[in-house]
Amino acid sequence: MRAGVRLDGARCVAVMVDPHGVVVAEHALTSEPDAAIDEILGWLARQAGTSLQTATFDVSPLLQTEQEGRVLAIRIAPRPAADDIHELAVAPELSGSVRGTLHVGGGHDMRGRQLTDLRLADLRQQLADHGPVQPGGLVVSVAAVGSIANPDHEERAADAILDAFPDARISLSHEFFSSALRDRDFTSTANAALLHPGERLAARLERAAAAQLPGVPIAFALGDGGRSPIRRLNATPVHALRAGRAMQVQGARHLAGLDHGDLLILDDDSAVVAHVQHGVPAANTLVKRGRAPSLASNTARVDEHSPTQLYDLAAPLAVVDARTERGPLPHGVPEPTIVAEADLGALGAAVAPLSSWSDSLRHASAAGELQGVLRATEEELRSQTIHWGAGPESTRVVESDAYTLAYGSRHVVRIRVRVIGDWVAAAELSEAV
Amino acid sequence: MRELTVDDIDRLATGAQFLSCSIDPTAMFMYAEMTRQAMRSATLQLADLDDLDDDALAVSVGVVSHGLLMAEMPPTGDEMLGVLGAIETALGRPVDAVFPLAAANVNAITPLLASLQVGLPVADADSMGRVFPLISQTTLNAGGVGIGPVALMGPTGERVTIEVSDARRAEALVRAATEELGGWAVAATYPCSVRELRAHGVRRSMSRMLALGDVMEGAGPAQAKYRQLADLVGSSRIARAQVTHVESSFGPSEVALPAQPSSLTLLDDGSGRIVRLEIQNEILMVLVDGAVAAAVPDIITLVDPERGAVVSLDDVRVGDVLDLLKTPADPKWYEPAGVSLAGPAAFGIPIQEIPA
Repeated sequence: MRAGVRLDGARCVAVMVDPHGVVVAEHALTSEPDAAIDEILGWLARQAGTSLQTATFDVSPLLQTEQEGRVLAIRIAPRPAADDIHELAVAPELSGSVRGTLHVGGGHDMRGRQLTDLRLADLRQQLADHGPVQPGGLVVSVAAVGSIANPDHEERAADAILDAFPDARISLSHEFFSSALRDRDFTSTANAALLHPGERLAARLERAAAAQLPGVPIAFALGDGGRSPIRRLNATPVHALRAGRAMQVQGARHLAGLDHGDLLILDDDSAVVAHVQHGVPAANTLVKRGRAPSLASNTARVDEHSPTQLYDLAAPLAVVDARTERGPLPHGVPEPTIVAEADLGALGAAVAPLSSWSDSLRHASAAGELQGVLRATEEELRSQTIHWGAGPESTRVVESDAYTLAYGSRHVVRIRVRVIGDWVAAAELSEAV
Repeated sequence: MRELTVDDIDRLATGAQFLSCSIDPTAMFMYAEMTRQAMRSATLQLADLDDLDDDALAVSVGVVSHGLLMAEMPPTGDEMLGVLGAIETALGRPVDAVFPLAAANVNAITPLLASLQVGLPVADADSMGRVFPLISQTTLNAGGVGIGPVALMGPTGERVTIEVSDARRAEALVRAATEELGGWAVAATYPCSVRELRAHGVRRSMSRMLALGDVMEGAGPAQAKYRQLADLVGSSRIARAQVTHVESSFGPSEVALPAQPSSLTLLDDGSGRIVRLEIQNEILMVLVDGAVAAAVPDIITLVDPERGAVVSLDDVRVGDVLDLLKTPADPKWYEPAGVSLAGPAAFGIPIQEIPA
């Protein structure tokens, strides 16, 4: 048995599926999320007992960036801005979370070569000058030029911060892929502002699960439609922010038995379109926010439906109706092929596979070398997924591509690999149904 | 002389992206935002070449890259001043106007901020009318205008002035220096008289980007925009197709271009035709069922048919449906000297004739 739980301020829902992915029970309650956690876990324990394999929580509605101005944003670049116009501004939505920014000399180019020495003594001095640390500890975001090619300066800066403040919580920008420093800085800073809330949520869920579902692996839902062990919520909570829509897509995909094709999902508020590849939602690396910095977190690609929507004619289209009241269809929406009875978000969490990514710049001077890099990365991710609890036979490479960078260095390529594990095959569901 | 508004900067950026969708627009949007901020305390003048004295000194400014993307290491802010100062020192006279090295993507915007910083007008002209990977691939070079002296300033603050006249030699020297300066450099090139710029540059290229931005930012479906683009700049749609394959090639390349070539394969969802894009920094050629449908110096733009908006090549993924638009480059590029510098053969593509 697998369980998926959508923790929402207004309505919390749990769905349980059998090993074939068939929904066997659903439970909804309107209590406030903290109380709902115990009640839902108790319900899961009564329903499944020791047969529960995993429980995945979509915590996205509960994740809010801290506004206490706790985050110190450290930028590592060869030189500071010469004027205010050229200063990398803190995004307005994070201004309440950031207590200050520090500039430290350092950085690498896209080949991973050092541009200037990392000024660690300067960093230590600036940290000392910055004033007393707030109760609850220091939270730091570190973003260095070129860290996607060489994370050395970010890592050494983190070591220096931990030397001075052993309890500091640190977010490093190279954990989030974008070839624009401002995107990584924004994402790392947002992640830093979510570290304490994520940590509290993870601890709360782990405590409750240990009491009511001892031994059951607990996971949190990701924006890419997958899941990750709950302890990762302590480190990269930003990846949970966009999980709500992704879980809905995953749930609809599962109901439709779709391994590859287009999905149109109707709910009470919207009609949206998503694309499914290899049994998971197609994902974008960046959540674009107009001309503001992008969020560098792999996120299911979901668009508003339009009456002139273009679909992949060579692949199936599933239309999933998840409305609570079945009125006339919106203009241009084809007749539903599936009517969802279960909560799509909670169902999606129940069937979400373990998901791991590698997105970085690598050096390859020949096709054979590039293939070797991709293969090695695929195996690293398989190992990680197995380490997280997937059976070796259940791992699957769903994306493994190399991209050149316009006007970048020759032989520097971006590789993007994704492995999923412990997934429920659409075919199994179709047969079971 | 025309005073540009803050709204013009947005339109110009959109038009600049239309002319070079192969480059991630992040750096351009960052520069556009900086320019908007700088316009709070200074006015930005766009000068038609007829507004300037024939003997006035115009200098192109732009960013050359080799190993570090500008969005990864934003400029500090003193680079434009640094390179213009170096050119003035080298020539012993003040600069009267600046113009873009390339009227596309980030290089369309950088002269605007430079203009605000130094208080000079931006000339409504450039040296490419689009963007090409090499600084020697300009209509000014095709017309015999010298590229040097060239001044460079990189992200680390180091500055290089190169005394050079041959644009191909300058290309090699600048590319090598840029790599050592940190991966990108602001460059001042092609110091020339307004008379030379009028004769051998691409005129009114800034105005053209504003007009393109006006169309692309307009409301209405993609089809309506295509009709306006056809009237404005002669654009035509090559195909509407779905991306089926992305490929990086590591074959030998005899052409000294930065970055590896790559290809995109699409399937035309209406006719089943196979469409292939050959890319090396810019989209160099489009093949439809093996026949050349467009090739450099033609400008290829990817458009999202749902939104009628330009799609950056970096955002393209397998499964995406795209419209491929072809827009003719400036007529100078189809003359023998232009084709020699920036036709298919200049990129190592052995085709003799560019389809009309």
